[in-house]
Amino acid sequence: MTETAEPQPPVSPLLFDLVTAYAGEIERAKALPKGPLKQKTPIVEFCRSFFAQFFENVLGQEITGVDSDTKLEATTKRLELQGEREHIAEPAKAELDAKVALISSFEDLCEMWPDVLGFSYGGSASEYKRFHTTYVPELLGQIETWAGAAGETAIAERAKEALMVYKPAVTKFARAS
Amino acid sequence: MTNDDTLLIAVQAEYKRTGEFIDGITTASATVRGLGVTIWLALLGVAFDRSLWELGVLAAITATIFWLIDGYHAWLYGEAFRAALELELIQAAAYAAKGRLAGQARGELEARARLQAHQFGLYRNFKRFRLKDLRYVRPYVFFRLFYPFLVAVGAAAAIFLAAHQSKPSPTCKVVSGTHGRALECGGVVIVGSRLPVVRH
Repeated sequence: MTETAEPQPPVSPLLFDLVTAYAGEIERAKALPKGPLKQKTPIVEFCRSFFAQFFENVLGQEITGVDSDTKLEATTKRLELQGEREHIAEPAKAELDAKVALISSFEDLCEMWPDVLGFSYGGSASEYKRFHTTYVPELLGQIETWAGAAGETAIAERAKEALMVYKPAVTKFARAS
Repeated sequence: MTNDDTLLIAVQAEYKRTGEFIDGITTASATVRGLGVTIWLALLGVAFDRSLWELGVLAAITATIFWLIDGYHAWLYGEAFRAALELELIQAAAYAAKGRLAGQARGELEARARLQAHQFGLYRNFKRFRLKDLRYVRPYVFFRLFYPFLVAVGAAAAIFLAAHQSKPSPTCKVVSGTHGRALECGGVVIVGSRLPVVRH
């Protein structure tokens, strides 16, 4: 008897546990973390790992970090995909648009990353807060949209669950931070 | 006008602003260096004139402080210079796309990607300053030779002056009081039968 191995999803659904773990940390602390996030913070690991897997397994392009160099690679990829849009059939456009939205989110992340991790000169508190209250919820929503369009239901469900846990926690405690 | 044309205008404005910032830093650095050397020289001059080793120490401390201030300005210059180079690369790609690579999709794509990947803003792109960044500031001739030389000369002058400072001999004079003659040395009056007789 031969077993056919199930195809692995392009992005590990286990990654979303990092989001719920971080939401739990915010709930326990009753506030957003003070100061820049550390490399080992679950949400930092989630963002880094998600985009690494997404770029490698979905776009076929390896990225080595979250910085201005990888942002340039991502922008190039986005422009290539946007150029392909008019040449593809209508049903595939939804998935392509979702991919483009995620690449655009990665570009945004590259810009705010130094503020989130405290590398920039002085750092921007507003960007730090935007990362928590706007960026991550939007990213989870975009992941759900992309995974739904790509037929990756396991990922779409996990993204939706993570968003349902993360958003209330952050909305509740962001004002207190 | 396309969106990319608008972005290119913004990049050009940022390039101009970065150039002005670099000009300002260059002027400030020259002022800091001039002021530092003047104060250092004045302190050393007075130290030798009055034979005060403490002023030699102060000269060394002053040189160290100006070393740090100038180093910070040099670091700012380095950050701005890096930003200016990045902006030139963006404009160079746009230039090549319209010239050398005109009509080639790859050239157009690279120019657009560089333009859109750029993070707008001079100060936002500055890294957080750390003291260890001073190790890499340029020009090396100032930060690895000139300022250490000023500090070393200040310290050497202090050591030299301290070693050669002659102790002032107390000046004594004979005074007359109710108990007869006495010797006053540095404000202390010595009275006694074994007082040596000093004849003027």
